[in-house]
Amino acid sequence: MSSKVVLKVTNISKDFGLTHALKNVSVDIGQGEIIGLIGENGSGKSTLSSIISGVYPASKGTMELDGEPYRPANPMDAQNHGISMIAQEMGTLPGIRVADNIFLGKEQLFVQKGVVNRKKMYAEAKSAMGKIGIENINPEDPITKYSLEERKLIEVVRALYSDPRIFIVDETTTALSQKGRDIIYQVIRKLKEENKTVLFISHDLEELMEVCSKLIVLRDGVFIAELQKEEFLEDRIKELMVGRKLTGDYYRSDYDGSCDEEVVLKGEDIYVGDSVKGVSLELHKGEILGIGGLTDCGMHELGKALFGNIRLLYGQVTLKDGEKITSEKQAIKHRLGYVSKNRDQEALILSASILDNIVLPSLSKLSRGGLISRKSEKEFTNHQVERLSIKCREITQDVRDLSGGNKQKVVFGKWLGNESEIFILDCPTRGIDIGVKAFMYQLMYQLKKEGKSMIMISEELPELIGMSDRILIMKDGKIQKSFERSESLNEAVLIQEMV
Amino acid sequence: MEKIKQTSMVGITDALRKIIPFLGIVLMVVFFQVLGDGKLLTRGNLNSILNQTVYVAIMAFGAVFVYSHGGMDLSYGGVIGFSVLISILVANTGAPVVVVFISNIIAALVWFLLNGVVSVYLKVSPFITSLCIMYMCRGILNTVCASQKYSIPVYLYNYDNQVFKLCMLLGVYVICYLLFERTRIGKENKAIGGSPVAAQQAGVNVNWTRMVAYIISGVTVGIAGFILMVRAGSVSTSTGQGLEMNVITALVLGGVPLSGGSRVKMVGALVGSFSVILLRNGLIVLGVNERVIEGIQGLVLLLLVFLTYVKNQDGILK
Repeated sequence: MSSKVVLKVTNISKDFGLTHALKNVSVDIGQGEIIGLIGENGSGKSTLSSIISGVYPASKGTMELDGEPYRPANPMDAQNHGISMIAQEMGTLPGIRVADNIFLGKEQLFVQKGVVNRKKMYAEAKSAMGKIGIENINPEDPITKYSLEERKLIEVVRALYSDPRIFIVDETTTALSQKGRDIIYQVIRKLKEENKTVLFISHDLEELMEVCSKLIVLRDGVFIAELQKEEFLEDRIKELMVGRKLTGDYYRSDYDGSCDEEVVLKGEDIYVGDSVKGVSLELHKGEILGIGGLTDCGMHELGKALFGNIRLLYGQVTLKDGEKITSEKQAIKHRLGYVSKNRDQEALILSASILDNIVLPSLSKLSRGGLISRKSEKEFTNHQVERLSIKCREITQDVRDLSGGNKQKVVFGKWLGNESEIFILDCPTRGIDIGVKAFMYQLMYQLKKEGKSMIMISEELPELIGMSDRILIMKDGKIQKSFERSESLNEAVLIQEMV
Repeated sequence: MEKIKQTSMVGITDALRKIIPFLGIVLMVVFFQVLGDGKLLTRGNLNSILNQTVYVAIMAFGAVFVYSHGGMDLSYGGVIGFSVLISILVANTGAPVVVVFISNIIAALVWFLLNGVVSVYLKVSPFITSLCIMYMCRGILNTVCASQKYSIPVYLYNYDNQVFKLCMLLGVYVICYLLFERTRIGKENKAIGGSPVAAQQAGVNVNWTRMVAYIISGVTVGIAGFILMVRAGSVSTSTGQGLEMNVITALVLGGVPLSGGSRVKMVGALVGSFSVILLRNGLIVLGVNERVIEGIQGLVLLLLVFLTYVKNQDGILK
């Protein structure tokens, strides 16, 4: 499959201080190709796409666009060259309307007699969204009315409106549910038909293998391999990414869904805002209870409700001794631990050290006569760092500097350190690379064997099927159906209940 | 997303951040001593520096708790003035010194409880709340002290001695240091300064912990009030005026990020308090006009906030 090369990247390097994020990477990007960029956290894939889309300049190396030297000064300049990116963590501007977000910087198109013709702008926005199959968003609404997912799609509309020749999608699908992903896939297919080029960055290997025509593997900032569609083999790609052979099973291998009769956590008729509408559930000792559904089905709010993090409108959460959970503090006292879906905002204090983060829930326990000694804090933290093999320079370094997987290990360390018996895990492997993911699954299974109980809320069906003893599928704030662990359970069956 | 993993760079800047406040003091001493023809390090002048530092420092120790959780307080000057006023009134009834001391603390604490309740539970910006409290206190002082001057009874002058003040300074410092660096109260306030949401999810009772910071700060302002009272000997409309600026400058000179979080250190308040008084005193030694000094202090504060802002990725003020 040799096509005309549109973008030629030669010997690109990028240094951040003393860190070499990219080292002499050269790739050719051909017209009409759907290229997947894959690699673990810190492999350099986002850096590469950011350089191509003008977010920051390369430290060394050159790029050529259609044979002409290409050095974008900023994302706007890149867009003028026909290169548009949907970033992992960029966003829409709050406080203004949907249409204003789509046409940010292009208001001139609608100016008549010195003022913006808003009617025309709304109509254009509507048709631009319609083109990619978005119908339930009103361009006149303020952007804040819409969920994170919908805003992401609005960003897609904005990026596509400039009619790019090279379209870069960076980890966007992590934030999307199946429906949102389908829209992105459809957009990608359409671009391919128009002989445009797509650079697709994702953690989800299955997704990439399905969508892309070519894969580029990076590891530690170095180009590792380029694979054509016919060379796609899941195990081979994983090996290339990690740089060693992955042994053993990814998920747990048994199909024994049985667990203790004892109920450790019980939710009765829980109502939260307008997102959870009458959910009852029981978590047993040593059970991994999976909860799945679309992202807005209420499962994330349910997780917070079980931990006492949001007020219930109605219903109650009780422990095995009959005590009600009403606050996080009390939940933690009764050995509950909660891993938020929004790791950087809610589960961690980024500007504080690994030590500060890990000891925080356990301060009372570390106090001797009200005082906490530096030594006991260090021992406590070191124990968790070793147990979870957290990669760090020192335990006093800021959590901010860690990779996604190591950050998540710190979050787990908080709750393991507090000797939690019940874990509420909301998307525990979100944005984490394969190596750490496998580690997390092993850890969960080990905890189960120790008699700990877990609720795993996840948007990833393979993980739910692979790990749970029982799966509850939620839809519109209610539990739609319950599935027992079995070898025959597959994604299609679950999806049917979700939508 | 790639994370920028800085290696040894961080270690160096962290070490620097810790040393700079101390270096500042040494440089200032040398600078003012040389340019001031040796008038800085005389016995009389050192006494004067210590006298002023003690009450600023004690207030700064308490302020550390409030600033560490991301709070802000401008009420110190007004509240300490009010505290001095009340305690002098109490002292003039012939009350024993312990009662006078307690009245200082209660007078300050009342305002800090109000400050805490309004800022923490009623969610009014602490900047506005404390500014209003400063004005209310000033209003009371202006009204009560306009026509009459109140002085302390003679026996209280006994407490205006350096040994007593040094003991108070050290005593309050040790207690505040332990509370802040070695107990849940301090650690949880720092956690809130880093991220209130994450702190809440880690089981911190965010509102109550913030409230405790205000209570501690109120007590320290009361103690500082006692020391200011025995030093000044009387109360007037200008008692305590401008002290809020000295406390904030002390924190910044001591390397305390005003946005709070894990980099707030109690030792910073101690070092910074000496720095700010040394700066003011040094300028006086050089013969700079008192009014000009205020201007210079403002400029220094702004410069330092700006410089730390560039260095610190969180920003010094949110």
